[in-house]
Amino acid sequence: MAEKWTSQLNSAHKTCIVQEGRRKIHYTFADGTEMAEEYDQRSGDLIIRKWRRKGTFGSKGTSWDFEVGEQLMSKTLDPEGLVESSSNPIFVRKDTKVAFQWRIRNIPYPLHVFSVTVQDDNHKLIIKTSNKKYYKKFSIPDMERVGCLLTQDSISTAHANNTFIITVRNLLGTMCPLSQQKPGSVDVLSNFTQHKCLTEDVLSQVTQQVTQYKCPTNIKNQRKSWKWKRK
Amino acid sequence: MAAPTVEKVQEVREVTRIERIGAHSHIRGLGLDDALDARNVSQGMVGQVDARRAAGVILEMIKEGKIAGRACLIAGHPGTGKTAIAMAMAQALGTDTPFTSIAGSEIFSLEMSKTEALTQAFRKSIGVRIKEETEIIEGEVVEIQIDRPATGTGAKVGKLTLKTTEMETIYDLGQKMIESLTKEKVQAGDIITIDKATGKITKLGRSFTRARDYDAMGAQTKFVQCPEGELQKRKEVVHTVTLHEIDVINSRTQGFLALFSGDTGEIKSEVREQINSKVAEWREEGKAEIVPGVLFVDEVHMLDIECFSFLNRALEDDMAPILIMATNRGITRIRGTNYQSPHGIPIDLLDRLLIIATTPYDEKEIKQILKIRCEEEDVEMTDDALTVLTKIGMETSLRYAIQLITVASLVCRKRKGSEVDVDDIKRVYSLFLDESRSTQFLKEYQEEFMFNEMSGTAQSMETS
Repeated sequence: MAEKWTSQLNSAHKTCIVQEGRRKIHYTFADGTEMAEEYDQRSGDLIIRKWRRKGTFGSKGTSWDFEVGEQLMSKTLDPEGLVESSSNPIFVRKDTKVAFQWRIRNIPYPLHVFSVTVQDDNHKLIIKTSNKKYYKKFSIPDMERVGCLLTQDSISTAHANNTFIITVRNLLGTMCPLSQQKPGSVDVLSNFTQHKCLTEDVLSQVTQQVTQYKCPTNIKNQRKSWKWKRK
Repeated sequence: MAAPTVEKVQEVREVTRIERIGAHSHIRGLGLDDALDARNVSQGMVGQVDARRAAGVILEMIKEGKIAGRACLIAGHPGTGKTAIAMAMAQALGTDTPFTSIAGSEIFSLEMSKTEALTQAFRKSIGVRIKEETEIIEGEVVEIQIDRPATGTGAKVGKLTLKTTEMETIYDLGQKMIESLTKEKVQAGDIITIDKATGKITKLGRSFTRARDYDAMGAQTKFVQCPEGELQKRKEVVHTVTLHEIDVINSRTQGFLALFSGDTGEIKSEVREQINSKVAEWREEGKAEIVPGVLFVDEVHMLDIECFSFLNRALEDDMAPILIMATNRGITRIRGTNYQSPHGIPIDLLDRLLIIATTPYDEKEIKQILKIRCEEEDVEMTDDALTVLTKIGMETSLRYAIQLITVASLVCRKRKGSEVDVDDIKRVYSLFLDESRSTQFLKEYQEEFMFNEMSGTAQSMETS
């Protein structure tokens, strides 16, 4: 399973740019699916990972599915359809270096209302509320892609400032057979090693591109000219 | 909490669409029994027993879905129900089988070549039944609240609260959603599903917990359990799309939007080939199923020789639909040539056709048809008037008689009568000429019309 994912990553067409302090990497897979990632340049944290899949009839997907992070543009209510009200809880994944973390904002109930359990043969997490206000079933795609299972004791929860936080210790480093192969030593890309158990050649491929595309020349030139003007 | 919500929904004026009455809106099917024998009067069809039985056999062939590229021709005098039979076939096939209806002259356009228009019509008539995953929202309505702006005009806003046994979510509603919610008469306590992509709302029933809200309820009220788990689910649905729709989605960058604007232009043959191979692949994997439909070409004598030779070729394709054509011409010139041929169709194409003939109606049948049309157009008529109208129908044409129904009812309403009487029929008969009387009139008063002074030169000029 893990091999399949790494070979998929290997064969994907990758483009990388640095913009606004973020390293943005865009993957296009063989079946036309697109994945875009954004990493903080200083800390190396994964900020956004989003997917765009093709429709059944070959039409290009129009909207991005967020796996990690959230869309920061304000949602406008289109006059036609139906949109979740802003008063609902917002479910966002925001990872740290050592753990997967989810934040459910806008949810005021006390901590004892919530219960988080591992279900579906250790594949899925379920958040339940005893007051029947919120329920969510979700999996961790990173773990799923490499075929790792979840355990109940790796989960911890917290509640503060209207936000419910679930933290799942990142076990990929210890559990995955793949990570026993020594991953690349590039510090900025440590997230890759954490989250996806990349093999070494994928890493070197990406780092190459990172150096190549460090800054697209036209943007560099623009900045220069702008500086000139100021002087 | 439930009571005020119900009131709010009912406040909004009900929007019931009035369907316009068309020439064939009374037809609901071919009117055949299980043994494919035609009942004399059934499902809006009258007479033409042989033609209808033949159409029924063709229908069976289409329903089997195995044979591609067959064609049949419905030939007969004007006003003998050719289009009616085709419409009846479309009705009998149901909504899941694609049925495309075009008129022969429709393909002559400046923006598109004739063969492109025909190809598109062909591909519109072939469906692909495929499973697709869509997101649906399924839950029990807790509260529905629609606010109208204080000024009376402007967009309405609303809120909908849905719940499952485990959770509750509030949705903001847009204009269109409010409309469809009111049309479906959704109220608190209903269990509904909303297709997220299309916005289609389906009412599944009422929640068991609301079973005691009212003492009396309709017999068809269904009680369902409140759904479990998450409100938003991914569900596999099976639906039928036509090959043409897939073509359009793939042919342009703006994708499916072109389907709605109608501006599809010409589609490259490479795109079509790609899609054909893709569909074949799906079929082999068992993901999709081909649903051959029906292409109906009315007034087929309007096609020219190039179209006919294209049809010859296109019918041999294994993805071809069943082609039904209709014509009211006898032996006439094939468009685009100087050759005469039966029905204006080349012999080589005629050879591939199964021909169904329609015959003129007899008096009893005409009376029956007029009766059905009276019902359809909501006109009350006395028996005597109907007999007179039937006689008019026999002597002039069925279409003329049908047209007199509505005008007669208008005359009747002017004199504040409730039923159309013989006098009304007589009055409209004298007011409006039929085709033969008009010809007669022209023959008598030809000289008085314009440009008739130099009849000799006019005749010689006309030949071009």
